[in-house]
Amino acid sequence: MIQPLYLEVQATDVTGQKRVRARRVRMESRMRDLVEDLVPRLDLPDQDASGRPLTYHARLDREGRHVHASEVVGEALLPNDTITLQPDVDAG
Amino acid sequence: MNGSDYRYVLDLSRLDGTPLGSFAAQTDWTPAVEWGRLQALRAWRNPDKSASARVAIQPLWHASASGPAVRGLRVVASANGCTPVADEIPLTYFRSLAVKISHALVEQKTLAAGDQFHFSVAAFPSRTPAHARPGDDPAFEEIPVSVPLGRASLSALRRRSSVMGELDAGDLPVFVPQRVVCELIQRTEQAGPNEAGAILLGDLHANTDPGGQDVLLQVNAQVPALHAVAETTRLSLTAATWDAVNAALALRRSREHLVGWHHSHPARFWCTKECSPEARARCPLGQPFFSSEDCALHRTVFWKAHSVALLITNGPAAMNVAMFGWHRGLIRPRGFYLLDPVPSAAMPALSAPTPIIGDPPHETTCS
Repeated sequence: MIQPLYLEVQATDVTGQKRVRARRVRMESRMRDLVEDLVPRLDLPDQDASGRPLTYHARLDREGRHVHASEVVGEALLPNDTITLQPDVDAG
Repeated sequence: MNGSDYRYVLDLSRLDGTPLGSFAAQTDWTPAVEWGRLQALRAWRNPDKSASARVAIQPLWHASASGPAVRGLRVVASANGCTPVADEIPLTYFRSLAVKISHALVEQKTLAAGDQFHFSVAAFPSRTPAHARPGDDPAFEEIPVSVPLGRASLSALRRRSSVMGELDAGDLPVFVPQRVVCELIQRTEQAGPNEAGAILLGDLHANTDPGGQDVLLQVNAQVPALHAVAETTRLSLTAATWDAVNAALALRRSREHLVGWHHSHPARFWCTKECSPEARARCPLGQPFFSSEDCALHRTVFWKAHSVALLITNGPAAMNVAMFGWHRGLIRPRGFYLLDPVPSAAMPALSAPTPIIGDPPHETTCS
């Protein structure tokens, strides 16, 4: 059986008011790579006020869990899944 | 794709005019674009059209200067069947970028810490228009998300409200029930020496007054920021916090959405034992301020132009409430309407000193 190389997913920010469709997500890529690609597509900052990298967690809406950064996309996600990028952010 | 068909360059110089250099502006256009979308929503009152509107950012040329100097920006929102809506963005939109560049100059020892400088902005046509930038990956497609628009009478809500802070006619009217503010004050008190936080839920409404226009924001409830790491000068919101907020939102089974956030400054606990009562009463830390971290959080999560932030300062002298929100692409203090105030309620008399953006200088000596 021929396995697909890519799948299509949707991603939103934590408010749900920004949404993008990612059409060609490589099945063998890691979730951390997908999140890194999605952050600028969602117009999200990648640094905090001090210039340190912001951490975003990917929540898989279908399963209600956070997908670990090391998980393989093809093993964690199904076509047309929606993931929500949730930031670790600090107020001062 | 929204944004600008121009590339912008910042020229920094010392106060005596000595040039410090020209720097290409890597500009975050999202706040300006979203401001354009909000103005479109207020004018068209069509959530679908405003969500998918094309928003262009154009330079406003400096009339008295030759060359490509700009005095500000114009943001124009357009959609099929709708009259274009335009508004101005001030030149201070580039200020944070200029400050960031100055930090690099300090590291290079071109500037000394604390040195003042001027900046000006020039615009040049970009070789590639905003809607066709190389590197725009066709594998990613933005899906416009419409915010549901309810219906409410602006005048009726105003009759039920008292004003907190200074209102600006250009700002979106925002209504917060006193009940919600009291809950936040109670959480602030219970948190003691630690910061507390919550997420605000609410709705946008089209004004139904006869002959009336505009849109208003009504905050309905606050959801405590559970699973946040609370410290005396920091509140860390985690993935678990967002899970809890969205679970609470789902339970409400309404069309509400996340419209803002709250956090507290336990300023009375920031004083040292050496601070006299008189020094505590006048300490700038008791004044409401929206720190750089607060601004960054607001941009990261609450980037929609109608989003607001409520800050409660548990100051040495008194508790006070301040609101911050987007105005022409920048975060600034703003007024709001306190809905259904009850004078006899257990709500402290709130002082409202002028809030500031940025960290205030601490008293260097307490006496």
